[in-house]
Amino acid sequence: MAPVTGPSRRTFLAAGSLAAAGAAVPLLSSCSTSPATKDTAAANARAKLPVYAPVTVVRPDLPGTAAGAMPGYFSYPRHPKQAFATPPLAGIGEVSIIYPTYSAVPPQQGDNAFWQQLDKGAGAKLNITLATGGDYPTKFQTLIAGGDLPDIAGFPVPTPDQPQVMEKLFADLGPYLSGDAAKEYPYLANIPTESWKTAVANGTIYAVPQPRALPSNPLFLRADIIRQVGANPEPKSYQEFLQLMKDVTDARKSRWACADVWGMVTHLQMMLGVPNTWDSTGGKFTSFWLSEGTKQALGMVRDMVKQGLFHPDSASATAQFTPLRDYFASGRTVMTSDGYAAWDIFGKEIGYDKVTALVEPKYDGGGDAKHYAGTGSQGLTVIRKGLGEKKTKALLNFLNWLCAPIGTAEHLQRKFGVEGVDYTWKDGLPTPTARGARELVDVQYITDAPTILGPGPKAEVTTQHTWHVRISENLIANPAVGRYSDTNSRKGAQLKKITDDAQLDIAFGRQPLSHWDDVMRQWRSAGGDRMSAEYAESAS
Amino acid sequence: MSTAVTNRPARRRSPITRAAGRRSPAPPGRRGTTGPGTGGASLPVRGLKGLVLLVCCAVVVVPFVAVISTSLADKDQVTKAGGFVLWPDHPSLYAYRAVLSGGVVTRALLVSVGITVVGTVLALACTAALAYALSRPGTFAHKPLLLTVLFTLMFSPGIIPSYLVVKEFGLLNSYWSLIVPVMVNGFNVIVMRSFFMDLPQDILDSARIDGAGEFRVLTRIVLPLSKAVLAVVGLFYAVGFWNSFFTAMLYINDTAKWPLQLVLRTYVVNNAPLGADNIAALGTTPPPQQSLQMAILVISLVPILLVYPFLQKHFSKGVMVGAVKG
Repeated sequence: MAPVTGPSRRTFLAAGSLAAAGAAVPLLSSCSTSPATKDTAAANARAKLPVYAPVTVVRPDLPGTAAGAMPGYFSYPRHPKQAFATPPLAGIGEVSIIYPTYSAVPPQQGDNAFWQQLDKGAGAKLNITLATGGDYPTKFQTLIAGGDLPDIAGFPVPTPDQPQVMEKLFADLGPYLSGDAAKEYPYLANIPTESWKTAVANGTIYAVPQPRALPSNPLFLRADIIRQVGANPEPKSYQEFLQLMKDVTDARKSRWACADVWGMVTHLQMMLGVPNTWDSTGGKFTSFWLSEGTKQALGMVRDMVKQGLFHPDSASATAQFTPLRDYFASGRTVMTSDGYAAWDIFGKEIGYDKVTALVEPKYDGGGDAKHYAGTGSQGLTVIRKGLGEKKTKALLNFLNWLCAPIGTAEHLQRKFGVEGVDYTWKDGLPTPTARGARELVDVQYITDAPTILGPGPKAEVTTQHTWHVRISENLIANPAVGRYSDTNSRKGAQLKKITDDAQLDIAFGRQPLSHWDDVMRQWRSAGGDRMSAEYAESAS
Repeated sequence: MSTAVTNRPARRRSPITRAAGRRSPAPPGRRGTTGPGTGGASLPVRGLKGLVLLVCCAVVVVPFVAVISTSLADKDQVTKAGGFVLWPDHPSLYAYRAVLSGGVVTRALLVSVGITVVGTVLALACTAALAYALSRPGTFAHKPLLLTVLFTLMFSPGIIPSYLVVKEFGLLNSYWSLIVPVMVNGFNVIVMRSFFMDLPQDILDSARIDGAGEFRVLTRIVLPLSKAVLAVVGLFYAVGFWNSFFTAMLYINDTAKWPLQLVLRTYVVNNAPLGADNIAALGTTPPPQQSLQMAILVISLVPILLVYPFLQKHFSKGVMVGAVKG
């Protein structure tokens, strides 16, 4: 038997505790919150947002509205016009870009006709680094720490110390984009003002947004099932809505009204007239979690679950978009809350005639409830500091190029690639080939023209447009959009988990409704109060 | 519990029974009697045991079947079934074609195989060398080295320090960044060291008397006697290299160098509300998301699963070393 060598237990423990003591210092210091520079709205209010100068290259079949509804198109212009006489990055050589992707990774540049055409159109070699959406914040933070910033980067929100990070590392775009200066980049000036709000920090513009439509998630309905059971597809009050849920539920046929607890709570909050995320009346910011309406909505969902209106797997399916979409598409649930673009997913999967979206009624009836507005942008894109005016302007012009709207040749190339290789024309629409679908480089996650409905068949686009027009008339904004809370950037996820878990506990009867009051006390002391103070300070 | 106890002798006895059967013909009219191999149980008890075992097997096998079936099912069936299909009505390889077409996944597969093979070989070589040195008393800086290894078991470096080290060594965007930082794992060193320490000192001494140096002792005596632990530790490393996606996400910027797991991740992270109009750009009907995901699961599982049976016989022995000595 070989003699046992190695450290004795005592020396081992001593070494371990010494090391632990040493390691504790940096760990603790990293947990502490650093004093933030004053990124108050007083400063941010001075920021002059880019002027909104709408550009219409081709007339839409269904016009957009001033309230923010997207224009609709029934067909794609067959011979779009070239909008740029010279490529935006001509003479720059190479540009490094990093952004989050939500699509399958495309083949490398050398084998990718789509990507090569993108380089040609931009006038430079685009060295694109992709990171999967969920991993992007980690990747971005390591890049910052390592000092390896590319020329153009997607900026994950929230990022701790956002104003400081932007000021230190990224270019102040105010001089190029504030007010009328934006007109030099006409397609950036075509982005609605609402979408620019999130791009402001330190009293100036630091980013270009990726514009998206304003309404938050619709509650999609299975029109065919509602017709089939003879239920009322347009409830005019909460009671009628509840009746609709009861009418479509039939456990023997494995069919339930809904499976998404969090989504349902949100739509009930809308019906009850609860403010969107924050109530800023009188300059004081109060979270919507603290409102009586939220507690009432939770009680309503709890009752729905008790009455068997929720899918039996709801507790695990809530906010898992894959099962929620599967349930809805297979008719196991009749309602589901999802992003507005999911309308096209469902339409293509099960047929547009089977999908519609609810216009939330007021709880007591008497008209449409106010639908929550989103942020109007799905992300931010920043430019590295210190690249010099010439390159910064060229990069801005490249972002401008990425925003060229429908009707320009740039839009067609950016969305569909090379004609004959990546897409062919079918029924008046450019239709990706199998190769095109594979090669797509989804630069829309850098920035994009304001979103549109279609192009697609008339009936399909019209149904969506009608919903968007009606909802847009009644949007209620989140007053915290465009304001920065340091606590939110550091503890937002942790605070969200508190409310997320509690909603499930209460909905499924694991906790009484009164538990919500305890949860709120916990939420406020864990950072909720600090958040509301920070928002209030930034609004004062 | 009783099932396991009564079954074990029955299983062990069966080859003997077969051998005996060759020597003398089986007695006629075995049905109804409690013959060898039945453990002496009556028919209902045997039936019940069978049923229990069947249920246990089903619990393990059905999800696998469902994964494979869903990957082969067509869109309508997946939609109708609400996500999971138990048996495809019209099996098609559409999802596999969709994933494998275009060469991205096949290239990533090669990258992953390369990293796994090279990484495992290097990791085993380094780990064995270190473990051997640490298993012999009196080697250079024995205790400090051992403490360093033990230290890594308790404290792992954070993401950003690791990134900075990889960057300073100039390994960013190189395949080596996926291999070198994880080439020696403290736990595996300890497991292997324990095994080496159990080797009889006399054998090693006799080799030395015959004039063998340390390197020859290691390669000719120690390693051939340690196949079990090499197999297990090798499998640990191989699975680690095969599954690594996070380090690749951090260190590799060029998508052409992405390993399989990271590429496949782009197919499954789509679990988010879509606020974007990216669907308009995808005119062709993509295969149902669920089939794609299941096809991906199968593709990423199969290669490492193929290695497993060859190592299995060493597995229990090797793991027990860690259990007792680790």
